[in-house]
Amino acid sequence: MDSAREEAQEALATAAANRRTVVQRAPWEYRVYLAWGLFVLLMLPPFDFVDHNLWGPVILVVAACGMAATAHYFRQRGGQVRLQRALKESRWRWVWSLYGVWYLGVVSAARLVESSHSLAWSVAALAAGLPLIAIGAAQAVGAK
Amino acid sequence: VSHPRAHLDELIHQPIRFSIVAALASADELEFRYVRELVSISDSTLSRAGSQLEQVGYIQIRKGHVGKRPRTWLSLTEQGRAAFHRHCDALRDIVGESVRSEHEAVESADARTNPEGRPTPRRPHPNGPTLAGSKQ
Repeated sequence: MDSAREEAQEALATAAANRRTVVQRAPWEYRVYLAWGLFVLLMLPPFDFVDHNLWGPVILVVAACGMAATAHYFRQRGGQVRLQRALKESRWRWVWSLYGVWYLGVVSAARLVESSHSLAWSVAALAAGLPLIAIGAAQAVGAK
Repeated sequence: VSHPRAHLDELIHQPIRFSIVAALASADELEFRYVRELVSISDSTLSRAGSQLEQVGYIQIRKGHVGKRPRTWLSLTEQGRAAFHRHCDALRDIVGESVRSEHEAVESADARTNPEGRPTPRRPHPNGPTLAGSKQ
C-alpha cells in the first residue's frame, strides 16, 4: 500500500472518528425522553406494594435529581456542541405540555381506582411511561 | 485527467487543521475548549490554526457568554464546508485510485504470466469483503 493511500485513509478515519465523538457529545433530546420514560416505568409500580407515605418522598427526591441532571445535561453539552438536528426533532414545549396533562390524568385515574385494582399503579406506569419511550425511540431512529 | 492529489486543499490538508475542520463539519458550532480537547492541542495552537482558517473564510469565530462566563464558538462557513467536502472527496479518490492501480498491476501481472488468456483464479479485490466468515 503506498503512503499517499495510507495517509488518505488515516485522514478519512480521523474525520469519521471526530464526527462520531462530536455527534455523541451533542445534547440529544431523545436520551432525555428515554430516561424520563424509564423513570416513570420504574418509579410508579412500587405504589402498588409500598406505603404511599414512604414511596412518595422517594419519588420526589429522584424526580428532583432527574430534573437537575436534565438541566445539567443540556447546559453542559449544549455549552460545548451545538447541533441543530439533535434538538429540533420535536417541539419539546408542546410535547412536555401535552405529556404533563396526560401524566396528571393517568396518575389521577390510578389514584381513583387503586383501592379496587391491585395493579393500578403498574398499569399507570405503562400508560405514562410508554409514550415517552416511544417518542424517544422514534427520535433515536430518526437521529441515526 | 489530473491526479486526485491535485484536488486536495493545501490549508485543510495539514493534520491539525484537518482535525479541527473535520470536527466542525459534524456540528453547527463547537466551543473553543471542546475543540482543543478533542484535537488534543494547546490554546495557542488552536488559536493560530483558527486564525488561519478564519482568514481564508473557512471558519467563523464568535465570542459569546454562557451565563457569565465568556465563551468562544467556532463554526464552519458554507465555503469551509464545501472545501472540506471537496477535500474528503479527493482523499476518497486517492484511496480508490490506489486500489485501482494495485488491481490493474495485479491484472497486468496475470496477463504477463498467462499470455494465452486462460481464465485465472479470481483474486480478492484489495478493498473488497473478506472471506473470513465463509468456508474455505
